Amino acid sequence: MLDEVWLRVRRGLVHRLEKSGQWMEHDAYAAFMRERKTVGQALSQGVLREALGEEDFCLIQSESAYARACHRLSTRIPLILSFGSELGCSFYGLMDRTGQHARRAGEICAVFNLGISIFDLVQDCYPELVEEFAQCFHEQVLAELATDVSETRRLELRLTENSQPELRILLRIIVWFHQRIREAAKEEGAADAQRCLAALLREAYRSETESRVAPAMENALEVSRAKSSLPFLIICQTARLLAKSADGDVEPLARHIGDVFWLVDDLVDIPADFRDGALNAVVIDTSASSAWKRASREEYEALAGLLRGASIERAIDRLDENFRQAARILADQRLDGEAARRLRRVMAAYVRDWLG
Amino acid sequence: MWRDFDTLAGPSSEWVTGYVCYATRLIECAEFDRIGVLKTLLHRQRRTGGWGYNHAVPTDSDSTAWAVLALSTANIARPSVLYRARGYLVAHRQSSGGFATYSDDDGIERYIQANAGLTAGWRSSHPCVTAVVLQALMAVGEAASADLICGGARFLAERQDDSGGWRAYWWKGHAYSTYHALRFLAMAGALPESAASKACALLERTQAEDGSWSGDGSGGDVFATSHAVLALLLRPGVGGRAAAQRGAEWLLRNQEPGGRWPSAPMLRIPPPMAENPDPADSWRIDDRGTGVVVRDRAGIFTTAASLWALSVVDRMGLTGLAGTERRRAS
Repeated sequence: MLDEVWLRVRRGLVHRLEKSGQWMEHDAYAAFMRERKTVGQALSQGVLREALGEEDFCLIQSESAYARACHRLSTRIPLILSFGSELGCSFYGLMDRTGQHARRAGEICAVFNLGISIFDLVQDCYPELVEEFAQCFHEQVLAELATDVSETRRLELRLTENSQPELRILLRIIVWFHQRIREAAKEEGAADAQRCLAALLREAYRSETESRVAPAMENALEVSRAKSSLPFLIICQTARLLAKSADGDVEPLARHIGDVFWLVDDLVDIPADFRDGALNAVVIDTSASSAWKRASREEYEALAGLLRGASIERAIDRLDENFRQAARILADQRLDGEAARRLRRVMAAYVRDWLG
Repeated sequence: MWRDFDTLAGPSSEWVTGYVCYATRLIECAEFDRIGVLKTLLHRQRRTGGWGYNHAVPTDSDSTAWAVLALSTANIARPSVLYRARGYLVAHRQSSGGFATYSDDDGIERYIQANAGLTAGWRSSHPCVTAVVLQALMAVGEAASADLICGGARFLAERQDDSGGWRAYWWKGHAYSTYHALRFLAMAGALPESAASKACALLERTQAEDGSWSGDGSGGDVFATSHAVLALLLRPGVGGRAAAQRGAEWLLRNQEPGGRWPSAPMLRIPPPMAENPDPADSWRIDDRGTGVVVRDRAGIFTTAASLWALSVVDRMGLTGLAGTERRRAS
């Protein structure tokens, strides 16, 4: 039955995206991804090395860092960095045609995207480290990092005390990101934008925490959505902090893009999330009348229910609608054409990449 | 598919292809249709859930583990493929916590026309197989806390020898087995600093002046050097990085003009009844049958190992590769 789910997701999604013209053709996709890997490798050797320092840079590139994820992280670092960079540059380009801070936006968002990926990975694969991490990094610390330099120094001190490389690397990224944000906000006089960003970061942290502790059914879908789509709003807000203008349409665009990737992630992850009892939007939709974490003996019924019903198709419909809404916004002549084209390609390529 | 080695069973296709696909996962090459090769490998999965040395030889846990690792690099396998592969691998687990190459159900004795009692060696657990199987199991979702992962970690921890390395059954020297044992233990979060240091000290101690490692003390060997470099870079402290960098530079110097690396006899085929083949036994070189040590004649396996090591070195920015330059943000 898991095979049937896996096939139905792929066939349904590819067919729908082909029909709506959002499916990237193979050769174009392959060329685009090769180019993105090259950019990602440059980001890795440049900004990531700077953020982590030599020792931890070598460690994150080694085969033992975050080794429980096997090669999931190590092989994807260039693409993770590149994806964050492209989103940051594109959002920035839509808001500010001067291009003055495009590179900076790209670099900060690249490292942020890697940080989010590592944060998720630690939660998923290193449960024994979660409590230790929560002791040095929690919502209160997040709130203070936004404005309090001494909080950054305290976190830096924890870095030297922390012998767990998986946590140390993550803390270094967090410290680096907040330092860059504070610098940028000060230079650009963007205190309001910084406050919005800080609020989004706290909301994202809260949703990640809630997603791990079996939220009540009525909240589960929103928690699932927030956890996956808020990072895109954070990237948009980071770009806004550096941009001279603040085009009103960019935030809704970021929400639509966030929803696209939320849904593609959950559609692709149905088999793994079933196995692990993880929060998944499509599974929640099926199990509307029962707890979304079920005992293994109920898995057959839950899978059968998923296949009998139309949850997969509803999720695909929703994904497609968000994709269309994003494309509609990007077609607005008032937006920078090059940035809009770039973002459309990024969306199409990475959706295809996530499908595998 | 790739084919290499020359044994009584012919060349290997499935096992070699699995290894090469996984070893080269960090390398981008427009001419190489990785997904196409993986799909071919996927379709070779047998009813047992496993893969074998080639299509004619019974399935075994080592070939299956390499196929699983290769498939884990792309999202093309249906859940049932990996589920069946997992079941096949778990069926090779022994009470020691280790994994045997062949189980009673594989029928290897029928294939080689021997009595079951004469295949004890091939049906025993060995570190060089166990470490790779456990990596494959983790690649398909086995949690670090699972019994078979913890049991496997104990099996390997108990078999680190006094020199700091792990002996291999199917391979000459200790580099391959040591690397994979360290890699799995790191994945499982079960690698104490003392064990890692001991292994790294062994590797640093046995490195030749020219930066190479040898499989048998007889001169630089690409396969051994590649795995020693990989092992040192699992714990990239300053000393290990320097030794790994010298090893990488030796690899670069020894690449042949055609692009491959020279192979040397490294794959051992012990007599099937031999459970603890002595490294000092006289092995026939590049011969057929058992009691032999053979090279990969096409150099594919050795070249893949070298590329694996060099791609990790390159990713860390430790040395420039011929034909590439260290990429930096401008």
